[in-house]
Amino acid sequence: MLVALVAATCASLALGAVDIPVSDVIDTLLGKQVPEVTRNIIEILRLPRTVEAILVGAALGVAGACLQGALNNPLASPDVIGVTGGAGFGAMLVILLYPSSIALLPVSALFFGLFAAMMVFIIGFTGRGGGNITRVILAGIAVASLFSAGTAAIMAAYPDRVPNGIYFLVGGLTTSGWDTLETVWPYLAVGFVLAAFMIRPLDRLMLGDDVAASLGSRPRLIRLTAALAAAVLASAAASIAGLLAFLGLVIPHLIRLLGGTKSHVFVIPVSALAGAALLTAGDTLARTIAAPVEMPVGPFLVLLGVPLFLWLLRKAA
Amino acid sequence: MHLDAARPKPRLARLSGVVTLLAAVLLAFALQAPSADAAKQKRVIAISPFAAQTMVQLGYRPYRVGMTLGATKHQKRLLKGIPAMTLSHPNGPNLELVAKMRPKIVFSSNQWSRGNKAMRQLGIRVVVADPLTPASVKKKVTQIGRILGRKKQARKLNKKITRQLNSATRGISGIRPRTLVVLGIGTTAMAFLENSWGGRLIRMAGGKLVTGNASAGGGFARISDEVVLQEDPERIVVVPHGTNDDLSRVAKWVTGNEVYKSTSAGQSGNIGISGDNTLLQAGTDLGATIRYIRTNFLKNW
Amino acid sequence: MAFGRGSVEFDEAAPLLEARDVRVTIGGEDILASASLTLGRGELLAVVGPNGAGKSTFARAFCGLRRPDGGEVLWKGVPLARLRGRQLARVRAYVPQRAQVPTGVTVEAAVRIGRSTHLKPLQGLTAEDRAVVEESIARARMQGFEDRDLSTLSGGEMQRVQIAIALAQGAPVLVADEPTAQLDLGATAAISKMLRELVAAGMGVVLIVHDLALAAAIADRVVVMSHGRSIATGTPNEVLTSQLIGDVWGVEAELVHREGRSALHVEWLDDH
Repeated sequence: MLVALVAATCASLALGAVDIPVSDVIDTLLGKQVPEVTRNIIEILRLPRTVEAILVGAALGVAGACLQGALNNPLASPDVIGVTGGAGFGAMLVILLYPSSIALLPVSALFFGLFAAMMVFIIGFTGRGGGNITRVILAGIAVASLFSAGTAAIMAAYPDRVPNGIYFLVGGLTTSGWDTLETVWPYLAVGFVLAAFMIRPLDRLMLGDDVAASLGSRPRLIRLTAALAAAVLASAAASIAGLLAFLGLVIPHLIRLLGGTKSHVFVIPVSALAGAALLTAGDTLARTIAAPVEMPVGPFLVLLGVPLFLWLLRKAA
Repeated sequence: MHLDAARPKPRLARLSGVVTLLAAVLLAFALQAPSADAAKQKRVIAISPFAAQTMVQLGYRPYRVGMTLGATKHQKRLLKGIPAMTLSHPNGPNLELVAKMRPKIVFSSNQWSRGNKAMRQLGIRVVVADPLTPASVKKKVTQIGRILGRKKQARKLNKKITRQLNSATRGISGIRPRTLVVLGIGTTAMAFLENSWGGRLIRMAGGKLVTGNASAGGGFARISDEVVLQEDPERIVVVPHGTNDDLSRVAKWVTGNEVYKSTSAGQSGNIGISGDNTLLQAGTDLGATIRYIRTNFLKNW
Repeated sequence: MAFGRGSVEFDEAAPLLEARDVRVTIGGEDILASASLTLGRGELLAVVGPNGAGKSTFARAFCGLRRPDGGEVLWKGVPLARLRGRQLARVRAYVPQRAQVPTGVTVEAAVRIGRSTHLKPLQGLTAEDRAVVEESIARARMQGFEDRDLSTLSGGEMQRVQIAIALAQGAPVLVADEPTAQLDLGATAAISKMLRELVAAGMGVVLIVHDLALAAAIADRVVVMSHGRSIATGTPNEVLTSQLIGDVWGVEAELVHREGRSALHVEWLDDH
């Protein structure tokens, strides 16, 4: 998996609408002298994008794995806790209502993504019967619908600006430069750290709430923290790359099917690597297949991923 | 012997001739390189159709233009021979290709804000000089002229635009036909509002825009069939989305539309279809456009 | 989830577990009114009583799975309230009656999870940890099953895995809620032998059982519960008299118990 990731990274940096030989790529990274055009293309356009693809892919893979562990439900994905709905709304709000302040987009997406998750957590995890998985999922679906409707409403009000927004909704990495990452990386860091600490507790949860308690864990707290980690990672990912929730759903499953174990010690780190590799590779393909037009990554990944996923499911059955 | 001694000489001569020629060619190439560089320095890309048209008319040929749909014959003629770059959301042109071209200036539109930001990060000067209203066309022409060092030509172009505009708006009477302008067909059709490019052109051409009192920041709004019937416009203009291929399909839909048929416009045969993007996209040929609108749609020429 | 609450000093001289007058109230009603027990090293204590007597509630309460509403619980001399997460996991292991059986987890993986209380969050298993895991599997008589998926095990095998997980915790006390309820004769006997072995090695075991004959045969002491109270404590022969059985269960029965064999002679069809 690690090899796949490295290969995908090289491909991403080397391929694009303009041909740049791999040796030049390496030279640029090492700080050696290369033509200015090459340097610009690699450092300003491709490098940030590749790094983003790696981080976002990893974040979504881990978020999906954490959620599926926390909610003990294979259908769990960042959609389900309302994050993607909220982030989409936040992004559209900026694109359609304040297009001149486009720099605010990641902040808005992050904020609304977390806000939506917070709503789901409050409804799903507190009060009597809190922490009940069904309740959390239902709350998530309701909140997601709420924000979807909100998004549709603003889209209807500003139909001519919608094409710009569609690109975000559908999932695509096209920013240039490091500004989005600069704003968002602390959230990614927090999310990854939290998730790392949740690996063992989630494993304990697998054996049942009672056994987990016997082992000194608090099931409700584990669910909440893991879901929080997932929410932070998914919001941060959405604010960079739009709505790519499919990755969060499918990658942990893929890993479990291929790895044969559900232990989170394996699933979470490998989901991170796999997510990173897949998104990087997918994005490279999306950029180069129809050059000079860049296809949006989201649908492209779905087109590639679904047949693979279905085939794996059949094989496993 | 004599012959043998004679033959190598011409061969040698030929060889040295070839070598000299080669050297000359290589030298020419080498000399060309710096001047090619110098040419590179002056490369200007005009993604915005307005900027492209303006540049050509100012005598500064753009290195590339942005591919647009629905250009008029006149516009196509202006930009003939200049290679076009494919534009796609959300960046506009392919950023890597632009980086490779190393342009001095890129004239862009606000539509490609993300691409503009990226190009600036690449160290390219990006200028957005699109007029938001017909009234600001001349100002933008001046701005483009100033940036390119063609102030005199800009003044001349503006005078021409003014002249054409004056002749096109001659004889507009106080009677203004009530005009509905619609973007697209079917359930997604939207009315042009006062603050849209097309809406303003209609006003300049002597029409009164029917909007059903809708207002929206974007310049377009959905109005219902009921409002259309209530407003009862005297002229209807349909502007299709997309390319000219749609025209026959659009025509069929328009002639079959009961709501439109029952309005004054429908009953007097005053429903028209716009075949290009002049009502949507800023251009320098204001005079020609207004005359076109008056002749074909408002029927007040 | 353990955030250190300062170091806790266990008193090795104190009994492993002391529970006094424990009370649990649910919805305004006392499910457990007053229950007490004491457990020492090398001792197997059986908690018996009719359905609804509060046996499971009592066990969950003194194990810390549910906060008691009254009374006192001391683990090796330290009050339950002062023990958090990991510290509690190091002193007692709770085996529930019906545990979730996940798919895609092997026996070895499950027992390793049991060992995870000894590991720091990002640390891997040390050689010692691996040894403990192997030993736990052996003590639970599950060698050879390491790579089996949990969902393919029989009831008895799964129970032994649960015990292996509990053993991997390295705690001196094992509390098992009806571990033999769904098992056949052979499996029950196997578990019984295993539990006695654990006790012989110095562990303390608390067993909640229905089967009085089984309790009498394998337990050193018995605690009888009825209507939310612990009403009798002592050796099986002392406590499980016909009189008491009649009072508590309302059934005429006599316990015959000698040399590892036990039988409960019951008047099943008696009308009083």
